[in-house]
Amino acid sequence: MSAAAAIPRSARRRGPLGVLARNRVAQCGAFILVSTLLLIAGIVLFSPYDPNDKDYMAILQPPSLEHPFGTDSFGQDVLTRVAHGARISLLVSVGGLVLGGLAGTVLGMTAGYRGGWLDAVITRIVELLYSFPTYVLALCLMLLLGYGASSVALAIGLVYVPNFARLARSMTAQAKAENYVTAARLMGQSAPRILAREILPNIAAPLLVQFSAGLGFGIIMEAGLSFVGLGVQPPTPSLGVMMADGKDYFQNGPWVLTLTGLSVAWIILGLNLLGDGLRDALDPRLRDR
Amino acid sequence: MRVLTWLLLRAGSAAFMLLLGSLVVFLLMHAVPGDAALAALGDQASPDAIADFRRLHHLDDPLAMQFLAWLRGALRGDLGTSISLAGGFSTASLIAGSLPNTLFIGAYALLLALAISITAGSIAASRHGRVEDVLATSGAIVTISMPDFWLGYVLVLLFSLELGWFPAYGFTRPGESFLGALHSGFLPALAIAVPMAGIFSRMLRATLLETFRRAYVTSARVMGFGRAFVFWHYVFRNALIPYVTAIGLQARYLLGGVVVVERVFGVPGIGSVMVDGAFARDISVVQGCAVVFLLIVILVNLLVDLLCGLLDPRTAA
Amino acid sequence: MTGLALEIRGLDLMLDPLGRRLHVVRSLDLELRRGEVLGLIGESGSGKTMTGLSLLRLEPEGARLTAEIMRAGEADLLQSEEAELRALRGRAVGMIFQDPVGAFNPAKRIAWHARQVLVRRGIADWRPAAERLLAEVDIADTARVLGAYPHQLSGGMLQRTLIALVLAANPAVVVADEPTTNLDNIVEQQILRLFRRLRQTEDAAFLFITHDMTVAASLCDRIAVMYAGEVVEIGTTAQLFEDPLHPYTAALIATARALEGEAERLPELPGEPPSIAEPRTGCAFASRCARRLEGCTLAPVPMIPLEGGRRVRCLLHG
Repeated sequence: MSAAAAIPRSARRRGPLGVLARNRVAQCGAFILVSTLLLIAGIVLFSPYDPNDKDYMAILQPPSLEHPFGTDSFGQDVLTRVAHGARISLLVSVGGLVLGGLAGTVLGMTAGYRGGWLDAVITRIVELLYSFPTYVLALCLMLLLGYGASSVALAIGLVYVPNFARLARSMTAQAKAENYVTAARLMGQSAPRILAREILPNIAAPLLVQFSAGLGFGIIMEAGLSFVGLGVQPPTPSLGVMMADGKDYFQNGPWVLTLTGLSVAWIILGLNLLGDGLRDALDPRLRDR
Repeated sequence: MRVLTWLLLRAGSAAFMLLLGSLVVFLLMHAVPGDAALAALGDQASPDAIADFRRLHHLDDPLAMQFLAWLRGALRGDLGTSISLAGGFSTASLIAGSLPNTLFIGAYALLLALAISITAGSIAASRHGRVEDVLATSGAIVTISMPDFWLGYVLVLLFSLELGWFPAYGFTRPGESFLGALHSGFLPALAIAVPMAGIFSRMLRATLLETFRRAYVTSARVMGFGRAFVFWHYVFRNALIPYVTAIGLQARYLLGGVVVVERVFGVPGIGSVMVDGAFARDISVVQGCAVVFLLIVILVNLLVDLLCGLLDPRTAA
Repeated sequence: MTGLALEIRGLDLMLDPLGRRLHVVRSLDLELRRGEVLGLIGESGSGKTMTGLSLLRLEPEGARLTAEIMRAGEADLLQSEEAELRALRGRAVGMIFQDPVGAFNPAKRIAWHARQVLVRRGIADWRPAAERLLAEVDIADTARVLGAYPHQLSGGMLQRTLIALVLAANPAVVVADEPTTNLDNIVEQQILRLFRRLRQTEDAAFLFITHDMTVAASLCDRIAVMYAGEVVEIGTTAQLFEDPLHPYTAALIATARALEGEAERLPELPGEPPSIAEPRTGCAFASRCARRLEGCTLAPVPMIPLEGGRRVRCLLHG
């Protein structure tokens, strides 16, 4: 038996793509996501309806072959609008997570690497951010920035700053004690260089997992904010806007809200499965969302 | 003595956090575009009236003075006056009227989530790898993927419109009728509780599985103790601290969910007050609500710390 | 009624983690008389602990355990009923662990542990009984120990307490799995002295699992040497030390003597033990054996009975 073959599979280093090749849960999530994204693209490109086509002869029709998700109170095709809405919701969520991920990682890595008073200050700020209920923090920010898709993205980002910062801080502090970092410091490398070149690649996997897990909640937040009317504003068809619209005639046409929400849950299920699979394979210790 | 010092330190740190948070909220709200006087008096107000209003509400004082004035008021229970509601309701009275409803729904949801997650998590962990585990685990990930407010509507569709068991809208205040509040608050609490339970049960399962591998579990079985006894006194008891800690970390999501779900079911809670305040750009209301929400989360975290201290013999001694 | 405290014939234990079949204990025979101390010695991974857990029928989930005979006192350990097995655990066979700190529930006081054990034995007035038991294992300050949480006591104190609790049930056999390995030298000597005294006063037979020949020599009446899941030699301590028959036993004793300073340099044993996953054709030790014969790798070597109850699994003595 060769030495390499004796090492258990899980101990070998592997990237996210390698995980995808082996982890069933991650495969399942990726399948849901890719197929749904393809479906969304197909509907956006080839749907016979425009998301804003109003057809007053076909108001609030229940699901049928012609309109698989039915029509809303303007006679618009719900499935077409869901596809367009999903695109916007995903963009908002990805944008927010990228912002929050970058800011949180920079803050957390700085705190973890520098330590001392800077660590104390950043930790306090992060703890404070983490003490605000998600929607409360987002609401305050929406008031400040005005409603709209970009503000929602910023709000999601702000809500996620502490998650990334906590994670990045603890892992950076751990990595700092490792030999490869000590070696780099002894060789006189600058702190930013060590952080970017030596530490970041080693802590990237859990951050990525946090990112994919956060995407799902980002979509929920967008939907929630827009749902109460303080997020993305109509006529932009985000999923939250559509659900807010659907709640107004919920008794007469429950399918609008129900099926839109089901689509949201389906996409998030894909994201969560992918995130779970990645987490199990890359870092089983991560349990926060 | 040690416990007392620890308690004082912890409480002091919580108070500092609240102060810092109030300052942040104050500055945020101060930066919100728009003139509070114009918003309150309307576009037609005379310059004199506006100047009077600004003087009355100390709007021209330096920022630090304004914050101190707000703080002084807040400590006496005065959070300013709502501009959006005719009659000049005090923000404090708005919050006092709605907070019990929110706390009721929040506690109700927490209890439901605890009950569901302890059952599901325990079954999943003690039947690790079997059908029950697979069912509970997949159930958890499906519920985590559902937006809570959407779940609220699905519950309404099922339990109100179809079965007629619970009201679809409206909430009986617990002060009027506790049973009525339990009944009318069930669906909103359940909508918040189900996704939470998904998260909780995943955490509980993970910690239980970790505890099952400990030496003292084998040692207990060697003594001939039964499975149920070992599970309860050895595994579950020692998994409690990580579980309670994990729940504390979810407080901000739970209360966040309350804000939106209150709108769905028309619960007159502090979340609804805050959203209405945001619509009316009623700064003093939004500010007051935000600080109260912050206070709740900080208190919950304090409580969690205390509870963990009580559960852990290393700190109790 | 055999009059034996423990009798095992043909014990096999097969683990099945993730589809890899591991044969961790192979056709093992052991017998203990009442009041006897048998040392089970071998390096880590040789199957000692799995043998111990098998006696309590706490083999890992999904494992396959087979044997012709496995009895402790009057109790048949080859039951399949979980309720019956639970009644036997602690009563027929007790067990003491390597890590005394980890063996106690960290959330409960020692008194709680004592009460659970004693009340289960039908002693309602448990407190005086607990104090008596602790006094028997040389704990003077019984009240303090009973009122303490596990983290407040030293390893040696906890190991004494665990021994007292295990003996409280009057088991026919006590499995002691490296009970002194985690303790510092002085405490180790105290615990060993305690064991030496207990074997005089208690009815129980002890199966003393260790990797340390010196410890085994100082305590055991007989020694069984395990290698890669098999017992390769069994005999009285004197027989083994005066005239080790199996080359592996000889190597172990030579190493122990070297560590005691009786030899100039540490003898070396080339190679590694065979994988427990692979099917085995001949003697497990053949690849490392300096006195290997041609037949050693051809067929499994049977246990060869010799005079004086001695047995060895080696063709040199067939």
